[in-house]
Amino acid sequence: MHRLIAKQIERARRDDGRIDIDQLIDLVSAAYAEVDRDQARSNRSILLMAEELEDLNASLEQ
Amino acid sequence: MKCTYLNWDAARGWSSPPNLTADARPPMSQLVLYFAARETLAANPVHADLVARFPGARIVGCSTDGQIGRDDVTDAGVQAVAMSFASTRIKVASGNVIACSDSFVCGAKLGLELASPDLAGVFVLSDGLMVNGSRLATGLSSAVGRSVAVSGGLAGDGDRFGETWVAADAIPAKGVIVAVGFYGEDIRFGHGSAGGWNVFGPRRTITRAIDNVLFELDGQPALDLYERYLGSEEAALLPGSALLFPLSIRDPDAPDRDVVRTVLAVDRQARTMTFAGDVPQGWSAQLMRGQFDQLSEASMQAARQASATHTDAANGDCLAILVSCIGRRLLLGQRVADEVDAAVQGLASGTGLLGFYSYGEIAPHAVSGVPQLHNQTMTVTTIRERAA
Repeated sequence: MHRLIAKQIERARRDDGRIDIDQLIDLVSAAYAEVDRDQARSNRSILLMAEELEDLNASLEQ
Repeated sequence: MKCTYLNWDAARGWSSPPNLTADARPPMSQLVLYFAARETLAANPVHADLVARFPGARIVGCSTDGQIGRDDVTDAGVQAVAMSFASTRIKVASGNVIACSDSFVCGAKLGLELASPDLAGVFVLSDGLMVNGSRLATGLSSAVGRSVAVSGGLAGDGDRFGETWVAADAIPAKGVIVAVGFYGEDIRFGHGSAGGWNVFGPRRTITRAIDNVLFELDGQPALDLYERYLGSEEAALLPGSALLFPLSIRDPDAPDRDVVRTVLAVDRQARTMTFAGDVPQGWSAQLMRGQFDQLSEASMQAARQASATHTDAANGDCLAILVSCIGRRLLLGQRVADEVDAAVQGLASGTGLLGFYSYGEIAPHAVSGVPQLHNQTMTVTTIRERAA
């Protein structure tokens, strides 16, 4: 089992030992959103960095 | 040294370890440390509870961006440890930044109160928004002397950056700095600090800055650069989201000693960014990014470093205080427990721990030993008494 889902199950465990399914779904859903955001941020950084390096190159060539 | 760990949450109240019954209490505690969110501290008599529970102990703590326990990181509740020492003496010095506008002077004043030939180490908790952490660390260190290790952290306020509170043997309040001095021959400290972030993109020059306020990089407003890299959705979450791209800065005259800086505030009108420590004009600056596994690896390294210094046998328990950065928590999201697990793996077995997510970490520099402000790191302080 992935360590994150193991941790999410622990976080969703209630005092009586049962798992709160609604809470677990919220956690899993939020984790998917975190991964999406992380990926979007990485892609954005790569694009901007490439742009900046191109600009730098162009100004050096002039 | 004997450590008693306690936690509190709204549903269950204070936990007690099973052995903490009225007739089997551990020896009188001299020092209690506690960490909790500001709203928890505001809504509950946490400090008063601890005073009642540990009469005679010096009680210090701060607000956080999350509490670190052995198993997980939580926003709700309180993490606390009560320490009783076999031979070590404790002294607490505190100050208020409102009465002392210069963080260096403030640190030096506290340091002078604590300074003594048998002072072995200092643990400091400071307001996280009204204090220049690098100047505080330098001031403290200048007064206690280079041979005394200083570590600790800046209080947090979640991702709100509103007010940060510190308790210096009194109800937690903003503007407070507290420094705990540990005295005697038997007390031993270990320190470790590591980030795990990587620089990326072009190296820029800090073309306009005053102290810890950054105006321009390469002649352009620094805030423009951050907003572009964050994108509109995450730029709306500034200043918190700027922590996803820490700034690595370096002195052109000492290019091998880079420092990482964390953003504390932005001014959208003036287009400036305020950092937790100085961002000197003329230095170079580069954006950084983090990856989950590398942050956790760094956390393990920090714990290893902090454990490695202890070579002689311990008298009783060993405590690790983990001060990690809000920026790491923001990036790691739900995986934040990974870096705590990694730190546990790096610590010597049997070491107890607690800690908090902060606005800045203070620890000796790994090479020079000079205490300084770190940002975006996991910083570990281990404390134990040596066997007589």
